[in-house]
Amino acid sequence: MTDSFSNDPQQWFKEQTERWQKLLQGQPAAESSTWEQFFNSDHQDLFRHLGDNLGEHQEALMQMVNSQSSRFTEFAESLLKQSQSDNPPGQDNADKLINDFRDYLQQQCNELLTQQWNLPEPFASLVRKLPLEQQLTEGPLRKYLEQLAATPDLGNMPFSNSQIRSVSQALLDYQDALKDYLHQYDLIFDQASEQLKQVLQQPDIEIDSVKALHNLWVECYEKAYAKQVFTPQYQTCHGRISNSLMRARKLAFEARDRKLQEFGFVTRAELDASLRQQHKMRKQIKSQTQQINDLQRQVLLLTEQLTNNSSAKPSPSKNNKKATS
Amino acid sequence: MSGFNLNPEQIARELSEFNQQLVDSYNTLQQIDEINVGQTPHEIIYSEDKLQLLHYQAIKTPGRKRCATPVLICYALVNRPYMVDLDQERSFVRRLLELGIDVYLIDWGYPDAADRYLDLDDYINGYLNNCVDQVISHSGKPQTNLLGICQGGSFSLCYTALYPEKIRNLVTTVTPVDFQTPDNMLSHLAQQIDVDLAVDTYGNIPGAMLNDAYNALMPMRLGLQKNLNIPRQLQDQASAMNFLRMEKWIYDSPDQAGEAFRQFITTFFKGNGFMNGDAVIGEQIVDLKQITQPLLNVFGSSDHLVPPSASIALKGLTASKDYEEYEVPSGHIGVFVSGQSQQKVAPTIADWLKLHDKSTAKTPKK
Repeated sequence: MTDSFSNDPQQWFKEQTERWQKLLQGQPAAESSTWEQFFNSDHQDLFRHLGDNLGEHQEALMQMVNSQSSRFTEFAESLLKQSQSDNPPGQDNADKLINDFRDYLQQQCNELLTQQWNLPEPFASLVRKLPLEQQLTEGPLRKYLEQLAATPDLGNMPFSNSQIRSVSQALLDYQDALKDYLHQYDLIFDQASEQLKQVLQQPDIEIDSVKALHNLWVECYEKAYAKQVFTPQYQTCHGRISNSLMRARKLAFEARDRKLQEFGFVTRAELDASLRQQHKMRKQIKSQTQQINDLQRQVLLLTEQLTNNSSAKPSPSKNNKKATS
Repeated sequence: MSGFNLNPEQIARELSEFNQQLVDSYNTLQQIDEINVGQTPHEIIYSEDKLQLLHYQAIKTPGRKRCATPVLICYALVNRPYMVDLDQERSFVRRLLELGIDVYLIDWGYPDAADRYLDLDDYINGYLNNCVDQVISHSGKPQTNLLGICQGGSFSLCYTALYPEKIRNLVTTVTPVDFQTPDNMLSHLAQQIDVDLAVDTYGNIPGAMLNDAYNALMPMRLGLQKNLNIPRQLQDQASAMNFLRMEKWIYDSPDQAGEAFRQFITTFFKGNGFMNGDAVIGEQIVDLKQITQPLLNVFGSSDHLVPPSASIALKGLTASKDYEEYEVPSGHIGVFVSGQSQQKVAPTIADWLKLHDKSTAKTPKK
C-alpha cells in the first residue's frame, strides 16, 4: 500500500484509474494495492456486518469475490502492460496469452480444490506450512509418514502402534488421492486450453475484452470437465479423495473420543448409542399414540352407532302397548 | 490464430468499469441489513418435532374458478422450502394462490444430532403421512393433491404408491425417477462414495458438503464466472436483494439426517429403486403400479441436477391412465423462480389441477 493511500473506496478507485491511464500511456506506474489488499487492511468491518446480518455464507462469498476480482484485475493489468511492450498480446502470441491465462486460472483452481479437500485438524497442522508440491511428492514429511506406517512395536507410548500406523496410512492414502485428483484437473485444463485454441481459430470468433475471454474459457472448461467427469478414471479419483478424507476425519474424531474417554467425558460413540435408543423410543411412542388414536376413533364410532341404534329402536313399553291393544 | 482483438483502451475501460462495480457493491452491501424471504402470509397448522406445516389461503378473485381440493407441496430435505416463495415477484406459491389454489407447504426444519437416526420410514410413513392427514382434516376435503419437488417428488411417488386413497392428483416436479441415466453427473459421482463411511464419520451429513457436490457439477460456471459477475449484480440495492435472496437460499442447507441420507443414496442413487421396483420404505415395497391418479410430470429441459432423462423415466412406471409431461425450458431452480415460471408454470399446474379436480382415482387393492 502506498503512503498516500486513503481508506476511502472511491479514493482507492480514483488512484487505480490514474494508474491504469499511466499504464495505457506507457508511463511507469507504481505498484498499488489490489482491491483485496485494500479491503482486508481497512474494511473488515463490512465482512463483520455481512456475517452478523446476512449470514456466514455471504461473508465467505464476498471474500471470494474480492480475491477473484483482484486476480482478474491483475491479469487484465498484465495484458495492459504487455500491450505497451514490443510483443503486445494478440494474434501473434496467442499461444502465450492462452498459457498465461490458463496458469492464472489453474492456480486459483488448485487453491480452491486444496481448500475444499483440506485435512481436518490436527492433521492439517502437519502440512499447513508446506507448499502443495512438497506435500504431494517425495519429501521429508512423506518419508516420515511412510516410516510411521511401518513402525514396529516400541513398548509404552502415548498412542498405540496400530493407531500410529492407521493414521500414517490414512494420511499417505489422502496424499496419493489428492495427487491423483489434481492430476485429473491438469487433464481438464489441458483439454480446455486445446478447446479454447480451436475455438479461437474459428473465423467468426472475436475476443475483444478480458470478460469475453473468461466467458469463452468457461464454455470450453465446462465441456472438458463434463467429458472428464464421466470417465471411470475421474470417478475413481473423486471417490478416492472423498473417502480418504472421510477416513482421516473419522480417525481424528476417534482420537478425540479416546481423549474424552480418558478424562471421563461422554464420547461420540456413547452419545450415538444414546441417540439411537432415543430414536427407537420415539418411534415406539409415535406408533403407540397412533394406535391409541385409532382405537379412540373406533370407540367413538361404536358409541355413535350404539346411540343411533338405541334411539332408532322403539321403546319396549310402546311395543308392549301395541301388543296389548 | 485469429480471434484476439484486445486493444489497450478497451482493457483499461474494462478495468475501470469492473472496479467501479466493486466499489459500488461495497456501498450497496453496507446499506443492506436483512434478507427477507418467504413473506407470503401463512399460518402454521401443524408441528411435529422440527417439522412445520404451513397453510396459505387461496386469494379470492371474483369470476375466477377455484380448485376445491388443496395442494400439499412436499419439498426436498436439501435446502429450504422458501424457494417457492423467495419474494413477491418470484413466488410460485403466491401465483398458485392468485389462481385459486389453496396451498399447504411442508417445512422439514433443520435436523440436529437428535435426528441422526431418522429414516425414510419416519419421513414418509410418519411426517408426510401425518401432514396429509392434517391437510385433509384442516381443509375438510376427502383427499388432497400432492406436489413433490425434486427429492420431495421421489417422496411423493413413494407416498402415493403406499397411500393412494388419500391423494387425488399427483404432480411431480424436477423429480429423479431413474437415478442412473448416462447423463446424470451427480449420480456418477455418488456411485464411488462410501455412504456408510460418510454417515459413520459425520452422523448427520453437513449441508455444506452437499453444496460442494452441487457446485462440482459446473465448477467454473458456478465459481469463477458467477463470482466475477457478482459486483455487477450488487451495484444497486434492488438487484442486490434479488441476488442475495437467491444466494441465501442456495447456501441455507440443512444437515441431512444420517440414516435417511444413507437409505436414500443406497435405495435410489445406488439401487435405482423405482426402476428396479425394489425400493422399500418401512417394511413395504414401493409399487408404483398402485398409482392410478392423474399425474403431471414437470421437468426442466436444461436441468443439470436432475436431467430430463431421469424425470421422464416415470412414464409407464405407474398405472395412471392420465399421465402428462410438461417440459419447462429452464434449469432445476428456474422451473420455480424464473420469470417464465411465474407466467407459465404456476398457471399450467393450476389449470391442470382445476381440470382434474373432480376426477376420482380408483383405489387399487393392495
